[in-house]
Amino acid sequence: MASPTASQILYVNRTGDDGWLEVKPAKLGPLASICKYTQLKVLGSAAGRTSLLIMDGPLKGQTVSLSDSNVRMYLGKTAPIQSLAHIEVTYGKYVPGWYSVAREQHLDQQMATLKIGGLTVETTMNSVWKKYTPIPAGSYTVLVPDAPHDKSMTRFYRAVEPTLRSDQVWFPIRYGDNSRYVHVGNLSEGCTTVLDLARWADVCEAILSHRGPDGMSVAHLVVKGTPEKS
Amino acid sequence: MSTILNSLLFLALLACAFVPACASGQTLSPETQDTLDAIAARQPKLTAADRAAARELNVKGDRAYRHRRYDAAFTDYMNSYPNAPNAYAYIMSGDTYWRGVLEYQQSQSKGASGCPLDNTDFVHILSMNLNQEQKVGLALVDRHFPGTSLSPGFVQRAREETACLQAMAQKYASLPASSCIDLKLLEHCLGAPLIQ
Repeated sequence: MASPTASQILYVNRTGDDGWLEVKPAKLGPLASICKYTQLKVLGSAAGRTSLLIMDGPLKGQTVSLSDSNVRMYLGKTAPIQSLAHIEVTYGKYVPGWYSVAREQHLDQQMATLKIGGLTVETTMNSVWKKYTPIPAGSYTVLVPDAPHDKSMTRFYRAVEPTLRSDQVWFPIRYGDNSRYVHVGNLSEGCTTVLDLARWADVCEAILSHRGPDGMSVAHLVVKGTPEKS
Repeated sequence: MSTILNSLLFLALLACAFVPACASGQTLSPETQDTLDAIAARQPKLTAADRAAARELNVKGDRAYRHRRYDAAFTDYMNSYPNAPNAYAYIMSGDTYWRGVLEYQQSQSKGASGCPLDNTDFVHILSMNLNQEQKVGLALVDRHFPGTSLSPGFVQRAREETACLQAMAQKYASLPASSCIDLKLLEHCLGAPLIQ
């Protein structure tokens, strides 16, 4: 990519394998993380660094910078699709004693099927009973990922699925205190948890490559059917 | 009734206190044994980063536990042992799960039946939890699993809690699904927090 010019709009088109791009805030403090397709406005370039204004997502309005070489490597002109992705989740069977190879334990799973675009993957909607419950059937908004989730919560899945990527990208579901997510893994605390580790990167891309008009949402989630166990 | 039951549980617990195998040694369930076998098989593949990740989650879990944020602590401990199996996380995960359940159920309205938590799946969940967590943790302690250095006081408390919960599972196994779980008994089994 040629050197960006002031006021040019760019997007995060590439990230680390955790699914995030680290940027340096203008104010003193730790590095900030932005997800793929975050919109950025070029403010200027000096001393080998490009200043950027974050235009959407949870860090909207913050000024950050990247080295010029990283601008060339990670930013580009590919914008997200300007509409919400459509995710459909249909409740399936309750499977007691489902074995997680990665966790070396049996879990009682309320299964469901998730469809997005041409992808169909298996999910669990709850694995921890008497405390958490599957999300009720209904329509929900899925939000732009808030921040990288602790890598220790999912890194061990790579031992059984080395191709797993973007596992630190968790999408909040607007429901209650927004503590339910669409994410990858084998253990659900009432989240929509994609069990199909090898397909997560595709599911993640299918969701993330969309933006709602508010710049804070990425998908419309429709949950259908009734869980066998609730 | 509750007093008699508590006395019986106390006797069971006392017997177990003098027989470490009672909680974790010689009568391992197939689930516990399978987990221990899987742990043993995985040992040579563990890296320093795996162990560091597990340790960090235990530290985070302890921080949440000490603030009585059992749900957060449970998530940390439960994700610690898949990074690198360790007795502490197995024991604490089981403990925090039930403390979280207790807290949640006590906060719920009793509903028309007057029972916040009935016996549906209770024994299944409790047994699965004990067999895959506390008993695994205690077996690792008994086998002097590498990296296990837990204080005798902590281990003794964990054994007592496990024995008490086991007795509770046995009691409710013979009762119908509609039976109401005695939350006071669950509270009694858990006792004071395992770490202060």
